[in-house]
Amino acid sequence: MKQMIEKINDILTEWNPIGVPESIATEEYKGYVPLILKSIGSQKQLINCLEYILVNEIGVDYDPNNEIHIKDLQQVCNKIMGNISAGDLE
Amino acid sequence: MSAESPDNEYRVLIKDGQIQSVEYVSDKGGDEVDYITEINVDKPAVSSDYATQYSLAVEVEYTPGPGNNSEKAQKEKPTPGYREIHRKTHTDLAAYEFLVGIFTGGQTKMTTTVILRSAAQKTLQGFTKHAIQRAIERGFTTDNVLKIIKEGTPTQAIGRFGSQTRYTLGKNTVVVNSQGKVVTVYSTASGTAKGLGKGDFIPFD
Repeated sequence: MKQMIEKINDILTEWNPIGVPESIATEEYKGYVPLILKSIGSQKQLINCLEYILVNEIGVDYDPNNEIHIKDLQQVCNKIMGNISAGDLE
Repeated sequence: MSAESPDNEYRVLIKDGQIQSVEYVSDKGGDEVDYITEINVDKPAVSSDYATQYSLAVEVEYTPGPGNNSEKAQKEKPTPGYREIHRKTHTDLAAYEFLVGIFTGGQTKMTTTVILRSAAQKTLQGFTKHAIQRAIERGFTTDNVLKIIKEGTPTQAIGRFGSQTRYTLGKNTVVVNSQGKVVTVYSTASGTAKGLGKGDFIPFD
């Protein structure tokens, strides 16, 4: 599980939706890992969770009708889903 | 201004992700628009990220004290996108003062100050949940944040999700979204080897 938390935080750090300096990004989004872990049951659930974080928590100008924004979110979702293995969740 | 200088008002030097200096270059744009060239020495000189040019609408604050609008003052303490002007009154305020003056027998100065203060407060629309969390974790008080926004150097940036304004004062930065809400706060504090204290508020000099 610890490995999984680190993996998700690494993905969020790389994504860095606010664009803070790299050294700050490693700590900036850690608080969202538990919320993401609860939503990794399906892609749709995870996308909804990431949208919720962007709009209601962080407060960036995410536009659900903007194709670039949607694609960006999809890529992060794929990275998270692709990094999950059954062993990580134990 | 020499022929080699860029045709802009300010040149901002960025190193290690932080603003190192702000140099007043020319008076192009007057009190309407500031033209800014950002030189990021962290990027290769041949890359498109090395030099970024953009413009900012100038925010003018009419102060009751000595002004900071002379060319000399701008060169000594440049603040892109911001002017303090003394003994000038915005047309709307002048009209308001005139109307209030009629009913108060000329006691309008206090009223003007109150209006200006409330106008300044409107610039900041609050904090997002994320910003509140980061401010608590990193020891930024509301007063610290307001001081950074009021006195810091603003830099316009296009983030992954929309435009932002980043205000930097000393070693502290406040990021504000396009709606005027604070999105996050951080400093250049490196913290301990385990990362404790990283990004924490650094007291002003």
